[in-house]
Amino acid sequence: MELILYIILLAFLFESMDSMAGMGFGTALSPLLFLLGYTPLQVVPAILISEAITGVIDTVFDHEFRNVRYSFYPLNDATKLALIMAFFGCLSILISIVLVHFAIKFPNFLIKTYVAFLVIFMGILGFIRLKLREQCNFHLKRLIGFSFLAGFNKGIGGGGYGPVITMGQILSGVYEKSATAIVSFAESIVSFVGIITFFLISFAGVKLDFILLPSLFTGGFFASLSAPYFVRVLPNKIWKFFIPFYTINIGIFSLLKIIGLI
Amino acid sequence: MSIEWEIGKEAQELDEKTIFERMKIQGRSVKKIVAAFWFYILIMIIFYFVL
Repeated sequence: MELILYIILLAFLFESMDSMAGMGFGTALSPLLFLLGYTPLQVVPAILISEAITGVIDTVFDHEFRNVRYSFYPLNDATKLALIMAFFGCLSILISIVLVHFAIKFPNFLIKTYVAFLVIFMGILGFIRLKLREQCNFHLKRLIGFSFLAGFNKGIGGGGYGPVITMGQILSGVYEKSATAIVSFAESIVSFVGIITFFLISFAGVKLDFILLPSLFTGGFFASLSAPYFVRVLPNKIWKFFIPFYTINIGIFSLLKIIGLI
Repeated sequence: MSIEWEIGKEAQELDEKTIFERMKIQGRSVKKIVAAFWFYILIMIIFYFVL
């Protein structure tokens, strides 16, 4: 087992942003790890396992620090919403992982390119989100559509889940701090299904590499403890602008890497 | 699902308080943080033997 310091620091940074702004760990960290030379089969399963565990911790502390309140008996709105998003996310992640890594074998290049464009698009959507803040009507079908798309993105490249469902919730009238907290809960459930799927395809001969897992988990763990507290204490105005900005930049860097300019 | 969201009401109420009020941590939360650290150690031990 190896702990890589810069991976721990990156995981801490991006998991912190993920908890505070509902995006960053998968969407931004995956292409960054690709930029550092790691392959999708090293990155995606490790991110899924790390997110599944740290998502549970994050959920417990978001509840504890009252960023959102969950109740299973009786089910409250926050728990229902998380379960709806998780259900559609799970369904699509099962389909997409098998399509990409087993039934239809896409080259790594294609996955990297898709993730890069996705990151840029999500960054732009982040800015659009700021413009659309006043329109907070409830649209369940739209939320379900976002959940399905988000799950597919996660399965295909290890990212993209947070930006889509965070924005979907906010456009549906959920309070911003609570929306990012609910993402962590749903993300954790979806990641568990992703892990199971990856283990199933590994039995069919796909070789998984967990070199990044201890480092990603360590950074993610400390972030999942501290971030809910900072969400409680700090206003999130800074994150609203900063996250789309850095997401677009990472996407552009990823594209530059793919076309060989870096 | 109700259109009148109950989601985020407590967070909104908390946001209306001062930053010093929001910074206060209850004893129960400290216990949960300690429990989380034990959980981290357990997971790392599992990784050590499994990976």
